Amino acid sequence: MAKVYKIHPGIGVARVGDSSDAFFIGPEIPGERGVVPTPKGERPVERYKDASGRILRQAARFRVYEYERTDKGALRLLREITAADAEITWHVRLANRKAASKGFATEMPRNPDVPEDQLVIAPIFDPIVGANQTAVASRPARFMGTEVYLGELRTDAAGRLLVLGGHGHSASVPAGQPITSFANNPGWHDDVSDGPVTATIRLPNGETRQVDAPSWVIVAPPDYAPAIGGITTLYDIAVQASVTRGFVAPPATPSFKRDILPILNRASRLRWVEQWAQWNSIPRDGTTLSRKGDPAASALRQTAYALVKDAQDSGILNDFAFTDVQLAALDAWVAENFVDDASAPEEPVGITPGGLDRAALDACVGGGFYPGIEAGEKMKTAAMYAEPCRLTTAPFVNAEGEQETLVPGALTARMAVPWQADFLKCGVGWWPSQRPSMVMRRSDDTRPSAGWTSDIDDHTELVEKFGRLGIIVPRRNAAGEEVFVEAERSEI
Amino acid sequence: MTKIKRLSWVGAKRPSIQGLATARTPRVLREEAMKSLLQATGIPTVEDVASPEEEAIELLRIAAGVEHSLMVQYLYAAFSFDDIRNPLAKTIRTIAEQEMAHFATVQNLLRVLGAEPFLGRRDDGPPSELDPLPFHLEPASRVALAKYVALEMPSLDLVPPELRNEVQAILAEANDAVPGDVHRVGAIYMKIYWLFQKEDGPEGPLMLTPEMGMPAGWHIRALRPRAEVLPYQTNATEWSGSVPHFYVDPVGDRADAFKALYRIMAQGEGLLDDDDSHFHAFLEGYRSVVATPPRILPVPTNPSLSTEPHTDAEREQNRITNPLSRMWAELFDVRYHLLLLLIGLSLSTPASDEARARYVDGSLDEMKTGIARVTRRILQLPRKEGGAPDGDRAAPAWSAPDTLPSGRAEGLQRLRELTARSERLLARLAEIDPSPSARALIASLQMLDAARRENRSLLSFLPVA
Repeated sequence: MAKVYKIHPGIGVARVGDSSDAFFIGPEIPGERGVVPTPKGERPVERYKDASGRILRQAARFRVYEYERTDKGALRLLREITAADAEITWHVRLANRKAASKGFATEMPRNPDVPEDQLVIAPIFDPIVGANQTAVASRPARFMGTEVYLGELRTDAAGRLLVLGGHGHSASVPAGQPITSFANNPGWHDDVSDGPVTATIRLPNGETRQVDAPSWVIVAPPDYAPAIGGITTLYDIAVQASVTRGFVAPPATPSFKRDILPILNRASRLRWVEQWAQWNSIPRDGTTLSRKGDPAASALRQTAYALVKDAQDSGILNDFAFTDVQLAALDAWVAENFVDDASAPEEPVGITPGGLDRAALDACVGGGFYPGIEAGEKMKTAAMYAEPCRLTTAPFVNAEGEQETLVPGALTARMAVPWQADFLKCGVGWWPSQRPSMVMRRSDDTRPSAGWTSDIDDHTELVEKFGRLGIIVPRRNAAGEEVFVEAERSEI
Repeated sequence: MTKIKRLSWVGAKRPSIQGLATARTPRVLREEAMKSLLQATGIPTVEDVASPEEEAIELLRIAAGVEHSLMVQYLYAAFSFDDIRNPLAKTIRTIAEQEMAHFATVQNLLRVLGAEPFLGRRDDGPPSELDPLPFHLEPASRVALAKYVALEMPSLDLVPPELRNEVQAILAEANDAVPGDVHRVGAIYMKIYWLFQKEDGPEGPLMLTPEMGMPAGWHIRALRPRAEVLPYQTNATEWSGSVPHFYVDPVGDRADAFKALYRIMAQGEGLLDDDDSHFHAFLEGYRSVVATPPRILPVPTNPSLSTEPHTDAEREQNRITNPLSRMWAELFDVRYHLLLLLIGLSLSTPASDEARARYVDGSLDEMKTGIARVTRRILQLPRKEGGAPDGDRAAPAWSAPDTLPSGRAEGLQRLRELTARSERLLARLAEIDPSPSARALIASLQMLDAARRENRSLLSFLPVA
């Protein structure tokens, strides 16, 4: 039977950081932390900054999986292919075309008087092959004559690909241009990027294959609250696209544990990073919220439903909308049409292709696309997907009704430039899961009361000091309860 | 509250302003268009003023009042959409926020003339010919959009020829609804621009001359020193969240004033055709409403909180009588007055004083929560006692305050009074409003009030909307 080779995750996510060399690998299991490579293997990441207080870059790791197509056309997973099984040659293209594109929320180009080739930051990476390798760009990228570092490629001990992005360096050419807009600033660049990831496999029998399903990598700004997720994530957006395209069907009867509880938990956890009173009011008693045939439970469900829906209906979050799949699940739940699996035993978790796809995108915000954090409104374009959580390399009709073929830098092109401009201005009601607003600095405080960016006065300061802001991490208070506090904040 | 002196329009000829557009260079076209507009409206002239400085202050107060009124009317329309995510609702709200930027720029211009901020509204007296539109709180509709197009359009000469027939038809629709001119405020900004010139020769980006009717030799002699005014000047960074084209220009000298006034005129209220203008945005909005009428909530036109029934049946229909709705609407007015007060305090406090940031943050909180979210709660409630939830809805009345305090001490005293009043209303609402969403909102507002009492900034607890 025919073998099929796919890279997972279908869309990987790396993040910039100002640490010179230290990094961690982004989440690979839904709901779990990323891992830090050590001489003896890997361990869950505990600190998000290096010894000098600089933010670790988040690497996106890609793996090749071998499938077999059955007689009925279905795919059956066989195994992961590593350097022990085949020679894997990775090909990556990254670009940042923000300055060359139209601005966000306007049809005007950001730099109409500068030739495009001066504005597109597109380094060339030679293919990387083997284990424990590192490759910087063989042709560095330039922005209006100034070299810009968009990152490097590495492989791990098993020959899997690691994509590392830039160091969060944003600047203008000439230097000192003001930042006057949250999204469109002439002469400015940053070092986020995106682009395709593919691989060639040479099997022991000498057969050489191009992978059948390549991936895409997005290099995004840091996630300052990695354990707190958006109510709608990019995974939800990708699922909706898959349902729209008919790749998958939405759940006929939603599962409380799989489809509802994550929404409630994510909404409720936002209280640790903004709008305490609002998010704290969402009921958190999962046992009751999943109980059927009980008027008190039904009333509590109605309350939770109304409060969660307020994120969209009352504009608690800006430019936020649940996906139709999420809404249908919530509606079914409040109508008591759901599977009460709250007490079902936890299934063992490990690294799986689907888990890789989900973990990468679940850590990204799927709302507030004005323009957003990792990638914006464009991610809603169902025609842009080739299969669940994977983008197409073929031409598709984009949201503007135009034929488009994805090119490196296409996903991040109309995001804010520099990203720090949007980050500073959009403090409340946008993407608290990535960019906190109000945080708690001691685990025994009663609630957040410190402004997360309180010592940053302007954009220039944030461009310089983004690495000094704290990371929101889970801790236990004196009563043994889980709370989320700001840690690793450097002096600003 | 500061009273505005009487204003007249000198030399209005009111000729047709059609037929001027031929193939001309943009600059010449602009001059012709300005001239024709000034011929049509006359030169706005404040009566009984002793100096150009005094006239400029009066005109700036008029302009601030107009911007304030427009902002309120646009917000009322924007919130009337059934789906808050409707793109047109968002467009109208963005334009309202841009009017706020104009309003803030006008405050900077007042400051450079040594005048205090002016936070009044144009409807706080009898209807005036200065009003670009009679103050009218109404839901979004095809006619409302036609009025907005008429209000924000540039001189017809600057309307691209291919749009002119369409725009003239829209103008006719607007004029059927609102007899008389709806297009005067651009001339006020032109006159202010003239007053800021040092002499009669053209200065800055606009070509104004005495031949257009501007009074020769009538210019502001001196501005307040830069070092004195800049600490009070506000800018976009201080206020803006993510509003595109949110221009607030600090004004330290005449060149700054020209730039600021030109930008206001380019974006709306004026003469210049600009791709990002309110005119273009509203024209698109009008077309979308004609093509696909949006679902609009059954909200009143000019809602009333009167305790006494109106004799006029239509007005009575627009009176809010449901007790819970009335209480929320009263709370809304308190938050609106708090907002104005906080804006006034921030503009009267130098940047070196840490209280200024607190007032700005407080203002933003009120915009986002006191205004936006309380509005949404009110719009869920029935207008009439015993009214069905899906029947006629209540709406905020946006009642203008009777007076605004002058001076910081008086302002702070008023702040305490309004905060206490809000706390009383919220305590009562917490007892009678069973909605979980409402209770979460009440808790948020109570935190905000508590923070204000304790002089803390609580910006980040509250949502942007």
